[in-house]
Amino acid sequence: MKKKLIASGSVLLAVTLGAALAQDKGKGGGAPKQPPTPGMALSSPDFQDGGIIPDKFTQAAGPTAPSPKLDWTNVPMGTMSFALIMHDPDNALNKTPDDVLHWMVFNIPGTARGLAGGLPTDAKLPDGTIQAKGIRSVGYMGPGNAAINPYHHYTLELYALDSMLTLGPGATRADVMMAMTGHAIGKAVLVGRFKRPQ
Amino acid sequence: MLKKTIAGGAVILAISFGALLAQDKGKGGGRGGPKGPGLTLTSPDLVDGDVIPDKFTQKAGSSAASPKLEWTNVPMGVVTFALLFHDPDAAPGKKVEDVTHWMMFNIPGDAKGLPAGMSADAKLADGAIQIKNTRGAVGFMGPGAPAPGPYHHYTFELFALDTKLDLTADATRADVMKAMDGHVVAKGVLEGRFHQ
Repeated sequence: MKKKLIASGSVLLAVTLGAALAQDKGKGGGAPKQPPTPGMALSSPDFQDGGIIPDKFTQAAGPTAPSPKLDWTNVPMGTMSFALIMHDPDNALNKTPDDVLHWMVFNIPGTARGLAGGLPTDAKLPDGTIQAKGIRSVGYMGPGNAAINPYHHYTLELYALDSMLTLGPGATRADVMMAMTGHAIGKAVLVGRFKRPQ
Repeated sequence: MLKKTIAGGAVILAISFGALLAQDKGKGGGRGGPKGPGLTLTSPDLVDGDVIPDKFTQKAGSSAASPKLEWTNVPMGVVTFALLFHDPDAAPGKKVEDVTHWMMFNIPGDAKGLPAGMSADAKLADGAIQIKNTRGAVGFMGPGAPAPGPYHHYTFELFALDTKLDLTADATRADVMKAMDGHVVAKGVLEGRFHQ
């Protein structure tokens, strides 16, 4: 009996260790020994990863510029919902380490494989998706970095979650981060750079 | 008197609003003065937004050298810098804190960069302190995202601070973030992508 316990303990340890390694070796991967599967990937037909975001999706096109279309693939098994956070790490708001929140969306259905371009700026969308406030208002706020600055790095972070979040449109970024803790089974990032034309 | 107070209030309000907008319009400028460009972080070893050369990654082994970093447009009053190098593409342990590849603080305020191949000592001769990365080692951990996945977005974040941090090499990333709160006078970011 004791031997069995120890044996099953080692199996548990091996599985846990395997899972921990999988994060480094190939995020989406299942059990160890299987070839690693690619991690979740986030892309946009509207701009290249690491490239420049076109003006039409930025404040250069006005305060209500449309959001870019987003696509994602390699979704992990067991995904119940997605959350998306777009932020500009190049700013420090009021001397805090907090950067600028441009867009926060959660409870995107787990069956979704992207977001349409020009997403409505409603707090609640028909499919259950919730949009909370960025630093300005509900919905997408385009990049607005001044021409004089270096390029800012607008970072879109997609979280695949094994749960829905029991939060409403009044949720803050900190609320969402806390609610996601322990539930982020996959993650993907897309970065676009921008500064205003001279 | 009342009129004066109201006028004074309006001026203060206008200045605060101006400062708030300045964040968006041009970071590096002094209060009220002409707005200069924001703190700018670059590397001669990698192009911003582009792929990081193998020699600075785990493809070159577990002790690959850190790239050379340079910064300009440092605002007035900077006492120290802190540098965080992280990979936002992973959520280890299903948590929301991503992978810390390198963190350093108390870099002297008169520094204008870091040489390539920084030593992996916790305490450097100029007073800078390096803490442990996610691997549990002190110093730079090169990018190591697996081949089958998409590119990861390795992000260097430079914080210009109006103070020196009262922390030791045992500090965690969370400790450093907390200690910086209220002291970040400017930020500069450089991003390189990589997978094996």
